[in-house]
Amino acid sequence: MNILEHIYQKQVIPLRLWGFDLSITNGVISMWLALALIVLFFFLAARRMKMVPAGLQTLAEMFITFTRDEIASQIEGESDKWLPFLIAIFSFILISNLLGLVPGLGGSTTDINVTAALAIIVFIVVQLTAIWRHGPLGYMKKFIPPGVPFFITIFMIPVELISQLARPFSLAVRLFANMFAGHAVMLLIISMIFIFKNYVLLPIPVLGNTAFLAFELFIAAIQAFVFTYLSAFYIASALEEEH
Amino acid sequence: MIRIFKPEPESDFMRAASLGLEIAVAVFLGAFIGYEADRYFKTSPWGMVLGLVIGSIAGFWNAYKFAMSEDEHS
Repeated sequence: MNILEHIYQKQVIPLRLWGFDLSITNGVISMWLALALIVLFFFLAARRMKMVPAGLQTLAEMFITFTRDEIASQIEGESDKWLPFLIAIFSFILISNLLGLVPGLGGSTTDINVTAALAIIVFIVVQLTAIWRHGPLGYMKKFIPPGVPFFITIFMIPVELISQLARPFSLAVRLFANMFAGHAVMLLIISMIFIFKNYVLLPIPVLGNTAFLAFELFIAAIQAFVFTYLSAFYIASALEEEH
Repeated sequence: MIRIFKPEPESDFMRAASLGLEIAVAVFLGAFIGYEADRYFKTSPWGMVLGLVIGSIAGFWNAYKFAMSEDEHS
């Protein structure tokens, strides 16, 4: 039996449309649940807003202030404009990562398709922002470093293209690999119970898994932070002027 | 108004920490594009070799740009 089967996406409702496999998997359900939780949280937090916050409003304000001060602040002068986008990414990844730790539910961020889709969204936003800010010609100029001979310019265009494409790939792979590896390690620790088959040695996997679960909570938060942080960095770089 | 992007110290740390993976991804991406080009144009192994070279340069070019921006800011 392959123990990693527990992390793989499972079909809940098989669905094929126009030759495409659009099956509803446990990851998709987890994604919908994450979205519903985020909407519900912010709806409840903003329902009866007070000047002196209390309850959920305090939590929502702390979350928004943290995102503004620690992530969006990289985009100098325009942080408030980008804040909704960054909060959307941050909250979605954070809740998805945390839902992945719920036994039996399965997280959506352990699926490379989800992390790749998020990275592609960030990539498109970054490229469109650069075109919008610098104009199509100015955008193209960013691919050619100033003051280089012509024969190197021809070589630099594919180099610059790959260096731009490496960003979404690394975003997607980083989030997926960290979440998948964490879940895999937890499963391996649990599997020690079945390997040892011994009550005396039982505390080792149980305590080990408890400790690792606490670490996974930290990883879930840090990976959501890193993804959003780098997204904000790429947006800030796209807005940057050549100097 | 045009603003100049100035990374904060912690931003530099986060960016530096992410560079390693970006270098590796750029090398793999270059090699993959070269490999696919080889399959399409039947030029094996030259496409992959060129892709590997361009990917490696792209990875280190990212690191070089980061180092230079650090130098500028310090």
